[in-house]
Amino acid sequence: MIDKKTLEKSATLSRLHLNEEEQGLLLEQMKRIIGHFDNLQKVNTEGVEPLYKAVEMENVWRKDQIFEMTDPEKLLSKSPEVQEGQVKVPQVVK
Amino acid sequence: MSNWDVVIGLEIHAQLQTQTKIFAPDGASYTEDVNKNISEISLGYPGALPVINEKAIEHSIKIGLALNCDIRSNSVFARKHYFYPDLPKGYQISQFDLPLCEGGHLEFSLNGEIKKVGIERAHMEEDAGKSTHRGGYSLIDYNRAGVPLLEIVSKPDMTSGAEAAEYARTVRSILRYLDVCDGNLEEGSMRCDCNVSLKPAGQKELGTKVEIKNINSFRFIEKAIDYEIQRQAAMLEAGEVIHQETRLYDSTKNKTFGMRSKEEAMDYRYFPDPDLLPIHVSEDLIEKIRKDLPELPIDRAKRFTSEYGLPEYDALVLTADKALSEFYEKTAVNCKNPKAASNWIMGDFLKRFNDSGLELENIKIKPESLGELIVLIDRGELSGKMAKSVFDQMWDSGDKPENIVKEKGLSQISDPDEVEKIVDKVIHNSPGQVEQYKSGKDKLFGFFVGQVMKESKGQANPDMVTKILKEKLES
Amino acid sequence: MIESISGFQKKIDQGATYVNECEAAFKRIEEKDKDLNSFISLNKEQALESAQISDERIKNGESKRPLEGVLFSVKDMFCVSGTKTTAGSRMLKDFIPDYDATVISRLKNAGAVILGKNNQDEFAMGSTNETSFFGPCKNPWNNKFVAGGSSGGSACSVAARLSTCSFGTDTGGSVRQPAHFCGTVGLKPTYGRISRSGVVAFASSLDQTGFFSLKVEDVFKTAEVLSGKDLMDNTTSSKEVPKWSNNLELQDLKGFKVGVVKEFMSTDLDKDVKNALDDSIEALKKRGAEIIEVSLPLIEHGVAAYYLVATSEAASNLSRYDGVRYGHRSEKAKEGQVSLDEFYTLNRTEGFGREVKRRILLGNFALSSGYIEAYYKKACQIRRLIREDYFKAFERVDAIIAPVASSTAFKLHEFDGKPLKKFLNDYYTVTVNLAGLPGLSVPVTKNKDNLPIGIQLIANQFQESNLLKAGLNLEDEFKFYKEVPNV
Repeated sequence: MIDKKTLEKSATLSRLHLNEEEQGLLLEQMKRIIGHFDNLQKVNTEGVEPLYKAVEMENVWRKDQIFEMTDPEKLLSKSPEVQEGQVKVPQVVK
Repeated sequence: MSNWDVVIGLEIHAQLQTQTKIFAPDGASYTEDVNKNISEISLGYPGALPVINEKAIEHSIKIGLALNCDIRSNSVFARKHYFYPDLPKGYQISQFDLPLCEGGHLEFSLNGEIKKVGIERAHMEEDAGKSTHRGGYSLIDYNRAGVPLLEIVSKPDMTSGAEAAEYARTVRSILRYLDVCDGNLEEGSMRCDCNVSLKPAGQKELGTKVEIKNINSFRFIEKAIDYEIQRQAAMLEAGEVIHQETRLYDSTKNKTFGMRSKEEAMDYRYFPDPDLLPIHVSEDLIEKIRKDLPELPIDRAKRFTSEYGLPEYDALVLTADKALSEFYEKTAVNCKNPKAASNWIMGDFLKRFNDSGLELENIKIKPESLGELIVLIDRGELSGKMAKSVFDQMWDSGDKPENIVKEKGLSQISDPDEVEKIVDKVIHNSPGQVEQYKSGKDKLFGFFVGQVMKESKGQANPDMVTKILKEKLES
Repeated sequence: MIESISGFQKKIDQGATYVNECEAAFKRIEEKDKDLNSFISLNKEQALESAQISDERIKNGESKRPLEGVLFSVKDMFCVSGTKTTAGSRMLKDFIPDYDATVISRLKNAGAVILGKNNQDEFAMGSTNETSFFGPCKNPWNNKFVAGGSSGGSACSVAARLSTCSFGTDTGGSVRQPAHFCGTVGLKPTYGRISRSGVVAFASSLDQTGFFSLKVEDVFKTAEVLSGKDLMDNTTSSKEVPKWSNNLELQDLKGFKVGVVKEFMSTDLDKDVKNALDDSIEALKKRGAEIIEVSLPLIEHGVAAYYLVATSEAASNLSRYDGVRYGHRSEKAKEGQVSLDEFYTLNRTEGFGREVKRRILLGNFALSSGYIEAYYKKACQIRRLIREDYFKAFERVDAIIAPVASSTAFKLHEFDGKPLKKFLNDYYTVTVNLAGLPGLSVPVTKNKDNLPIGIQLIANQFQESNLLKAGLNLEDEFKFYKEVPNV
């Protein structure tokens, strides 16, 4: 189940800001949703391996050869702020 | 220090030498130009998917086998989530509970003792980009983002800074022998984090561990750990509590210091990466790679002891570095005197080499030349003392020994007639001392030897001098 | 108005030009789409260039490529080089990739024309197309109702005869449900049939590209061209792609076993939908099929398991949207007085809409320390059991027939503020994605509000041929493609 503190933790992990009102509303909604998720606890899954891939597939490994996908300059040009050919962000270390 | 048991573990990240990145076909080798080796995959663009590089897997298996690990037949990539600008996808693709390699060990010699350190696991992951911090902003270069890494985690079996440093040196040596990583701590192709904790002597439960990150030389590994041990011991003696934290090492002050404290331990939310399939490694592939493994340091050391009759300690020193072992072997084969070759290299050679701070490929002296020098000594054409001086000149100039000897006229005088002439001269010129010697002052023998050497400018063959002097003085 | 690929090709054979057809399509879009809002952006220049090339090929006597000149539209989740690819979100509202998704380059290589990018729920999260940053897409049969989601625009544009075929993505029903709401055919192939490279990811182990058309044969013709191993997507299958286009003739269903799910029959279906389902079952029976009851005992847990897996993978996949290398960067952040964490938070809070935020929060909750065992991992265990149930059922039947949803299209705003209720509507579709199965929605009738009803066929992994066989029969029975909405 989820409480205010857990929601705040999740918001931090998600880098999302919720104002008081949003928090309140969301908490109510998520309580209901997670309440529904909690029904899964009724199912006995002892000894059941989690399934992460529904379809069996053979892996194919890529050969170690360089090839250019998209022009690096074009990729870099998408960044809102570029300086000296590098992506610029606010200071990482305070 | 006897109150406390020291527990040290090392996490080493080795950058694998592949053409392309682990999950993208961009170039993986270092380049001057920023943001050139990038693609939509390594930059985490919408829709871009990771595609595993077979060479990265092969290199990783090689390392795992060299570390005596079990290679898991189905290992899984997992996502490790955190936000940082040099981490394009907001998660790093790594391995979590099903790593490629597990349960190995490493042996090395420390102060004449053989140490064995367990390897907990080695797992594959991708490197992040590089941040440059300026005032108020940071710049990110993604060339390195996605370069393949193998993270090698030791068991917490080490108990001193020296041991940890030697472990790290051994790992580096293996990586270089395998030709999968150049193991350069300064440049960062190999990175070392150390975990240090103390516990009351004899207690089973481990203490709180402190991580020291990114130490960029073997010497500093030893010093940083030694400092940290002292620091923790002092705190514990004073009844203070050690908190789990990450610290950095300041080499100018020889201290570790805490980084700005992080609010909470990061919740990485590991789960298997749904864009990648498990790495299925067949027994056949493992055997093929095992068969093609080059001679590893420990095997080369064993071979040096059996083939060249070297003591175990010498063999370990000579094989610690691949290039050094090759230098030694070439010298030994050339002069056919493996023991002398070993003495020279472990002695004069290593002294000058360590002082020079150079890489082996950049020194001037050649193994063949050193071999020739040893041959000259063995033939009696050069005295041991003279040889040292010739060696120094060889080191500085890269010149061949015969040339130096000829040029400086340093040949050893081993012709008995010539030596006899000099001995006769000295005896003739020192009647008083001869008198004293004959009346019992045995110590004066050294005086005569000294005079002969002086007269011959140090070139007389010492053994011969001793022999002839004895004959003449006793008669 | 082009209603099928073969109809289109006939028209060209009779003298029409690809360029004219393309221009006519754009004219029609301009007239009709104002109300419907099924397109986020149009691709006029590239489309006309492409049509021009097709015309020249004909002039030069070159052979027609498999989808020569066919008028496609694609959901805005597909990266098309040089065109805005927004995923229906403010976060990417100005994003123009310089690369094509693999399926887009295969589409282009097959000669198709891409008219534009279809509207959708933001990041494919939703079932009504109401979470789109670009406004909702309306149902072409009755504009007080939604087109469905998340591929609402793709379904609508085909139903409204604005494009002949379209691409959608189906993660939990996002192709099959809008197909049902809009009265088109919707195919979701087996997971792994089609490359996801270059398709904006929502939930990686569930996402699959799907197709809309008016006739069953067209989704299969399209699927055949686009399916197959892609070295740039490690999760594509090497299984050979069957030549579905060689099996487009109607065959009777003698010997064909159709499963009816016990648990579905006891749920609350709208009367209209129940009747349509019953009629469909009768139709298949009439045509020779044997109807067998099957059971999927854990199906009631499908929605919970699905939403746990989907939101977890989504929270992870959307971590890359941070305004650093591309995408929305907050004006406040540009002023440069914020810390790094504030920077991330501003960009993401402003860039994402409410539904996306809710799902990211749910996903990170489900993956977080202390909760991951009981939520994400538990859901994955249930996933295995649900897949087992399906495998068992398919030992006895060739295809399962089921509703797509319990009702016809929702009214606009019907589920505002009711996210759990909305999730529960996905009951009939989500487990198909959990098990990696192929699913087909075939329109069969309309209700008195003029809203279409489609029926779902589900087959075992890689058995799309069974969907084709049964689907052609349903289509032949009800011939819904003859119905045209009044737009």
